[in-house]
Amino acid sequence: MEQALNRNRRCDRWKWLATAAVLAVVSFGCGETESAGSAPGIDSGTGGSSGSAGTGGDSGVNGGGGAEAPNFADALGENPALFADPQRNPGDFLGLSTDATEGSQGYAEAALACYAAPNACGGPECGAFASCCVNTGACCAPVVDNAALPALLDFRGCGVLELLDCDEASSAVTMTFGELEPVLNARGLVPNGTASAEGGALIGEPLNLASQRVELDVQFALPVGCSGTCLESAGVAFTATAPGPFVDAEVGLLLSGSRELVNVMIGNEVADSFFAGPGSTKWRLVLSPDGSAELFRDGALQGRYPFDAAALTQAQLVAFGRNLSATANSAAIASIQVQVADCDNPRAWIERQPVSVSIAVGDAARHSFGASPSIVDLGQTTQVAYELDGEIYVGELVMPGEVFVAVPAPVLVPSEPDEAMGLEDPELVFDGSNVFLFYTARDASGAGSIRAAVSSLGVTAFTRTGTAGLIPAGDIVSYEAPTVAYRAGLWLLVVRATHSDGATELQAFYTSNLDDGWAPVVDGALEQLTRVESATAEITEPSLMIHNSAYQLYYARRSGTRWSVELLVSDELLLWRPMGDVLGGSDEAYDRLGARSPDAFSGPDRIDPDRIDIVYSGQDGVAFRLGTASRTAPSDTAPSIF
Amino acid sequence: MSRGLAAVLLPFVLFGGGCSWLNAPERNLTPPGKGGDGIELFCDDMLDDDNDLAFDCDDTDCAQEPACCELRRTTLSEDWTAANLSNDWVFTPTGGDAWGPLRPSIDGTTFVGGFLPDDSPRALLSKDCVSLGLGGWVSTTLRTTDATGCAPDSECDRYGGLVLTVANDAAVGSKLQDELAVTLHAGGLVLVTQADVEVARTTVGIDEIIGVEIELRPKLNDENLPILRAQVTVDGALLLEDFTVVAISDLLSEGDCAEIPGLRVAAQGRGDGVYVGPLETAKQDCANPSQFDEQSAILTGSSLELNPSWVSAYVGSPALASSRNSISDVQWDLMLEASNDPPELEPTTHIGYALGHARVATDEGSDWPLNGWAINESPKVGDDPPSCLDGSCSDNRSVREPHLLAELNEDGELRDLVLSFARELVSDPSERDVFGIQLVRPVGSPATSLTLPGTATLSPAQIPNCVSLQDPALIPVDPEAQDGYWLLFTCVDGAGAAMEIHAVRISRALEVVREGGGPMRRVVLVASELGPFAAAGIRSPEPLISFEKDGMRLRIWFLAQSTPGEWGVALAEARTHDTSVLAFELPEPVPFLVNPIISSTSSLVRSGCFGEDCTITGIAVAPRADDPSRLRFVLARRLYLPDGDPTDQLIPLEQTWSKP
Repeated sequence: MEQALNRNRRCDRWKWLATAAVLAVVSFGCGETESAGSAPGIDSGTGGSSGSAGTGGDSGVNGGGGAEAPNFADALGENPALFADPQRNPGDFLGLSTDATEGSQGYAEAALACYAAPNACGGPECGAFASCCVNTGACCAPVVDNAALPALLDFRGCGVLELLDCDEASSAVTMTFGELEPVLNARGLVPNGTASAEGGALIGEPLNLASQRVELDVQFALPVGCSGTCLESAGVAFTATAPGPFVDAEVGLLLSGSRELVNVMIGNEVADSFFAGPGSTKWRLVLSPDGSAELFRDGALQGRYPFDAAALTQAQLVAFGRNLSATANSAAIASIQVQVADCDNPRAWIERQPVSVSIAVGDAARHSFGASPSIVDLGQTTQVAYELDGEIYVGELVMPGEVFVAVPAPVLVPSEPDEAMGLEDPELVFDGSNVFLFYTARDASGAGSIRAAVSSLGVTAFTRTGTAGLIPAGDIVSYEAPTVAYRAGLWLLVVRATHSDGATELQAFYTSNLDDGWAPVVDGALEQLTRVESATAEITEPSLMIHNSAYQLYYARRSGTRWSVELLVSDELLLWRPMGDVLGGSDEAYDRLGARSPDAFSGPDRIDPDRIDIVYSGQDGVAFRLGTASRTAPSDTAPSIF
Repeated sequence: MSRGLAAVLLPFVLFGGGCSWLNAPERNLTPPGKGGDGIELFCDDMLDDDNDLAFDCDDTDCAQEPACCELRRTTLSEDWTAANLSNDWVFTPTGGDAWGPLRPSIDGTTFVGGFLPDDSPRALLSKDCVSLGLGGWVSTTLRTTDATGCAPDSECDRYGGLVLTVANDAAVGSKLQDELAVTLHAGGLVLVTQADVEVARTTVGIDEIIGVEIELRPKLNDENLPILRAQVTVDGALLLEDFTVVAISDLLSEGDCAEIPGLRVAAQGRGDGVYVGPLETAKQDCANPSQFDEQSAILTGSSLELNPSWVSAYVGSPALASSRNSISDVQWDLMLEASNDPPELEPTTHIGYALGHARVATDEGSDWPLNGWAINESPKVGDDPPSCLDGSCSDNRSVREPHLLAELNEDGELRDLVLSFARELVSDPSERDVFGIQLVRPVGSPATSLTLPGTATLSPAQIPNCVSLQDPALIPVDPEAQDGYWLLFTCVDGAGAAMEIHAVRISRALEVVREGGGPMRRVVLVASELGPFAAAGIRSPEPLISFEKDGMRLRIWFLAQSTPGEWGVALAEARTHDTSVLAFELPEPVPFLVNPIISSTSSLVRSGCFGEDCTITGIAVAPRADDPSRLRFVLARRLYLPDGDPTDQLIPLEQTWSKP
């Protein structure tokens, strides 16, 4: 941590001032800052006074707001960097300029261009942004241990054998199918299907194409003497169903001997075709979790094709075909080479299930319908907090889908004057020593303030910290739904703020010392991106985490009656890349209509750092029930420096 | 209207105003002509598209539009007098203690109320869904009799009202999830809510019967997706309009809503003193392209007794024509493509197809029989067998995708059938599956075989950017087809799914009309402009044109896929008052609001299907000769049996397009 902090200081204060200025004027619509008149008052716990916190006494921290450019650099003194990866420095960005202003300008313009559209991260400068690792098929982590598929299968080396008699090939084969056994010869694997039934073999274990990037290299052997009339085919594809008379090639390649074409198969239909010859041609199909299939021929890109990656969570590699000619002349698969990598696809949730809460109280069943869950990994245990009837409970996640509340009582109940309408939105945060519980305190008028309590690792009881919270002031009439991320001495807070006219937006704050209160992140794009002024929609319940050098900010959006979880990603908490809906209704009964109240977490110290877990509330039209899911997401693949 | 096509076309004059029920205001279409010679293209764009001084729904052109349709068919009528309400209503929350509402009679009308005990909101929730997805109405009356402790401008803990919901229950202590609710509070406050969030309010008097009506109409949102919009009238005053209730895709689609999606309705309240009167729901009773009546008999290659030598592995892509024969029976002409090898082998090798023809006569109003069709065992056009995987018939040329246009005399008797089909054009033996289009007249009886002319009527060489021309279909440009036809076809521009449907003008003599050095050609449908349902391709247009008193309407059914392999049936419509323009231009068709009208997951496609691979392989449409307001469809599907083998069915469906 010390090393990180020292490196962080490379990010000189003047550079940050320039960055702030640049970000204030670039065209994401924040020219007139939302902080004007809406900066928070700082409540120093039980007796804090507005404006007393912070080191510089600038307008943001003081809550005075106003139109003048806020100076959050001063507010954090020598530790102002908000980059998710503290080693990053905008002044170094792409080496655009040694001039701080120009460098920052270049950074902002590049980020805005890369975040402008879902597929804009493919631009030449976008590889520098960790945010562009999310849902792009970039920054993936190669799977080297326990790979589901063999890296290389050269079928030409076994001589003339049935497939299962060749040790090298058979070890990779899960199952053969067809009326005749597939055979090997000097040309490769002859699938040996007939006119009435496909033949071939399933290879390796299924992959999750929703979260895994696959580079599939195939070399075919063209049939001999076909003359445009033979029934000779050989294909390599991923399928989601067991092979029958016809293999459902969801995405893959199929050599047609009579047509002398290699077909790109998508959804079991021909998406494109290419002249197959010569036999030495190397075909490469690159499948990305974002649903893009790229075909290369001898290294040259031939085309891009969309496919339904989200539906292929159990994609089985299959070698298949039909061969009515003598095997010595048949179409064959000479070799298959596969490289698999795990990627961060924020929609590729697995192990999605309802959460049952075990608690020794009379109405225990109600606890599975607790609201606003929060999850934290304490190393030895994983704890889940939720709210029920204005009180906050914490239990241990003893196994996926099961929370056990050892002490059958709330860990925090309303007791303060501004908690008359109860406590809501628990948020558990572990700083390495203590467990903090941030929450919304509702006063008698319904206005919310953000408060905090602290506990030891036992998490059986929390004590109010007495430190600064966040109370509404100026045009803000309520704060609620806090989410807090902690990294390297820096606390980051995102809340929903309600303006006096009823409009809401998410606002971000930071501090290096909870006792000093929260300083607003000014001139970022978050407010504008999340502002809602309609009664038919809502954005709330943010969940902020840091993963793979980027912030991931989940939040719940209501459209009409339906809730879904959306995601924004950012490198520095200022410019955001919208990812849209990432968690909605599923086929499960408990969340068939939608999902809300997300709380996602990951961490470099976890046993599996390449994994993101989420707790949420599933919507079934009758009630909201606690649910959980997880996904694979590489944690250390983003570019560490610009 | 003179003779010729009159019999098939005249009945269309009788129904509808000739205006589409389609709306897509974001499409920048220009009304044809000026000064009242066009038609009200869009019925909710606040423009007088045809300059006849009648805007939108004030224009009779729009009478059949969902945006304007006022014809109602009652789907639920509850006066709360039944002895046992639990037959039709769920008493929610079901998780709490049993309860039952009071049913006082007020001024001779039975109300429900007394949602007691008052520890939770309670509701009578309809067991069945009511169809509202293509437009409808929900109405009731509300009355508060005791305002004690409740102000007229604030919510009260005693209330009652009407709820539209997808929920099948409520949690104890919670209201039903409301897609839209109108609630009268005891003090007289009326709130309209969604997700229990206020979207409109008004105040009414105590002890007054307050009428409430919710009118629902489908529209397209900014993303070209269908949504349901509402206007709410309370006590005769419009309280809320053009309010988005829910996406059509989020509506319930089971039970009574299997064909037209909808919502459950509920009378919900809490405590005593606020009552809900008789409740009624109705759906629009105008044109409904999503609703089909299944008919008998489902046909197969074997039921038609076609020779397995050329139909054993596949039958599909039907064409249909209806006429009267000399004794006024209804005559059905059915054509189809077939093969002795399965089409699933297409990516692997060339598969050959041939065309068959079958005919049967039935009594007026009757269904066609399963057996007894007149056929020729051999193909009408093409080879027997058409396909040889061993290369033994490599000189065969494939013929596919027939379409029949019936030309009738004044008695509705068949004067001529015009057959169009795709024929394989092979310039080099190594090149297969490039198709052009052949037009043939006369067609003759099923026993008559046709010989392919030396050259195709239209070839890809004549159509830039199309490497193959498939799925032909003809429409006349005038009631008699004296000036010829438009030939619609799928433009195949590469190896993947086709994305455009084009049309070429054809003369009465079945020759291509030229314009500017090439065929007179128009682009009819482009997948990328239609919406997500067609994002992955379109093909197989099946047009039907009707010439009416004040214009013509052209409906085009076609196959569309949202993702590869997920073919559904979609619909688009074009119309104009100025039929003379048809000789030169095809008015641009606008997609139906709620496409596809038959999805790949529809029970029509999935029923009896084993696995995931049942697909639509074609659709044919023809007006019944004995009742042209009834359209008969033949939906071809290929389904997989438990043993894994595919089979093909031709499913007859019917649909009514007008009401007397």
